Amino acid sequence: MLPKSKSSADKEKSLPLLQITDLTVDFDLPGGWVRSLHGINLEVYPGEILGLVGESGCGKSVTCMAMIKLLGPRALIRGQVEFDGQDLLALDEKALTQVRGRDVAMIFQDPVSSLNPVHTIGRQVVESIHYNTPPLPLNQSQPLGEQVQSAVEQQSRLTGSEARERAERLLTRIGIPEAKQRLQDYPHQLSGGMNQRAMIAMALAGQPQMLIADEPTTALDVTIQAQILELIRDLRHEMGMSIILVTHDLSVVAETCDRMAVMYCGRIVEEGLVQNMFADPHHPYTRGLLASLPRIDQRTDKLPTVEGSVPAPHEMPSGCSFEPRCQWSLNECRIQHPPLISCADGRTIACFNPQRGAV
Amino acid sequence: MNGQINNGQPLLKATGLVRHFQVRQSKGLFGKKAVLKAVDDVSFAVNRGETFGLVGESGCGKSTTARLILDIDKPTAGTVDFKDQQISGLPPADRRQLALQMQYVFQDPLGALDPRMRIIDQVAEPLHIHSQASGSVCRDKAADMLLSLDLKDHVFQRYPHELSGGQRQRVVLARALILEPELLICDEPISALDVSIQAQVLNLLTDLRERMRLTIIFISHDMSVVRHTCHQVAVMYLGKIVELAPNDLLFQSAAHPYTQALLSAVPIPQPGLGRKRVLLTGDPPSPIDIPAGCRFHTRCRFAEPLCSEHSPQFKPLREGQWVACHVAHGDT
Repeated sequence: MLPKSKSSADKEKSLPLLQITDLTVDFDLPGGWVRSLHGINLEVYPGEILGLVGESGCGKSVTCMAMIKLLGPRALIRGQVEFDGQDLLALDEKALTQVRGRDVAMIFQDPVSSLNPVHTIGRQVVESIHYNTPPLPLNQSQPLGEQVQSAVEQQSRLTGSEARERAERLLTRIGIPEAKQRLQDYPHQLSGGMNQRAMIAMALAGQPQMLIADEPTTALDVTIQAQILELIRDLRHEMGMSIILVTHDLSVVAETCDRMAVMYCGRIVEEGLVQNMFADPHHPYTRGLLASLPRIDQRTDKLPTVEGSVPAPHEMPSGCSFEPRCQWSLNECRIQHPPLISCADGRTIACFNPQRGAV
Repeated sequence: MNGQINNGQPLLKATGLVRHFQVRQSKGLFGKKAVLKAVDDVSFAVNRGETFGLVGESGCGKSTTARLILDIDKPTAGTVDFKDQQISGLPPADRRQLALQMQYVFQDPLGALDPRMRIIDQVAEPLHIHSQASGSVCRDKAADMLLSLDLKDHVFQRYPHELSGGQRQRVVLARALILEPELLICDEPISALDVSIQAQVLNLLTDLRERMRLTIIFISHDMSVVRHTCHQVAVMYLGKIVELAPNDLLFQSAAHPYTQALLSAVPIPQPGLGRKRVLLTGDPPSPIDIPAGCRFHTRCRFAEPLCSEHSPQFKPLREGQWVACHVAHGDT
């Protein structure tokens, strides 16, 4: 099921496609500055699928959006995001526009986000590029075909019939039956799964080296989710893309990803190969999350739980942010946040008192 | 949690429930009318003290069925019996009495709570409405209920937006349980919650069921959650129950091809399991344009010619397991 990809095998040899160093994001909110990311370090290697997991508000999406500067003017982004040799954060808007879509593409949770229906898609796309908002959400009032086509045109400088043909081929590949007819449809005429496929087709239009998929299946039914995940896995092999899969669903990570990074309150707390992490999670938070998952192939009367809940941004503890919920916390956990330390099996972990052994 | 607690009288019985909606296929006043069959001949019984799971994909009619049970929505045909009393067509006064015994918990706790009312008052409100007790008595009872759901007294005077998702869902539960209902209908009670909170609320539900002798109808699209909470599970597809069985039987030897596909689509949190997947192709058909014969035959990998002609009967396959499938019953 889970392909032992070449990427994880020769991880040591190859250089990362994306290297994030000390990425920090602060938001200028009415109540003052709020730090959303506290120095993220992360690598993505060519051809691998990296799972970015955590609960809502932990900073998974912010990490992805910050990478390609989609956070808007209220966010202060610091650090380095080196993609294929260039620092994305140092690029100006014009150069970034070249990267977005062509080198790094992104798909979002809800494919049918509503744009202003009284403006043409062209005008809205130009506007979105200006204002750093996500590129090319599906427009309710524009036939799908035209939207895919304009994405293809924009990203490959093809025109007219050539682009239309390519859009059709893309839709067929992505698993949309009768692609030619579907090109004439509006988003509301298609199901959620079909819309998400169309989004993927648009993201792939520029043949990106990296795809960021932010909760791509959360809004979909489980049978459709299985189809889309299968498609993403196939595409990775076919196009040699690297994929960052953002999700809160650890089961999806187990079945799709090569490596995973667990985030908690704006920090990566543990990162490593999926096999190792599931077999032997070291960080108490990872352990708690994995233990609390209901499994379809097992049945227990009482699920283990992670007690308490995520602290609000203004009541963040001064030490480790997981300390108030941690049953293995030490004195030093209350004083400072543990640094990320590398372990023998290639994983990194931020914990003063890591636990070993199967959950 | 295993097995049946009580084989006697079911607490609730739904018989031949049908709910059709008139919709317009094209826009405008003179658009073509069509019938959307949201729930089409659904029958089941819920035993006292058990958790009854109603599962299926979005649009299969789970929530409509729940609304019919509560009489929020009137069935086009069919009846619901609660404690041997037929619910539909009751005079309003009796209907109100029944409402005391059935409560509903919605998916989104923030949407279900009044944003401008303090927590304690929200929980006390149903008591105010349904009893003659004074305000302070109601609030005392509400406080007890909140405490018993592990909410600390410093949240009592707060507003919903000041609470976390898990706390809000506990408040919603407290408000539903304050009238000491016998039946609790939970519509996707944990899907809006974070992973680490889901387990807390699931455990709480199990706990409450035992403590308050509740009967629960648990609506969910998440098969792993259903696996852990329910005694009986009914799987719905396009407005019909296609399979109904006790938990272990359903998850270990599902007979309907749809149930099998549904189960195999659920990811398991264990890398490298190498499971064989039954991938369904395509999307479910529209409930306006339901395929003839078996509704699932357009996506079924075992479909025979018979399946597109005759609708299969919903009948027992073995002890406790009811299935509507020609192939499973060997009709073909």
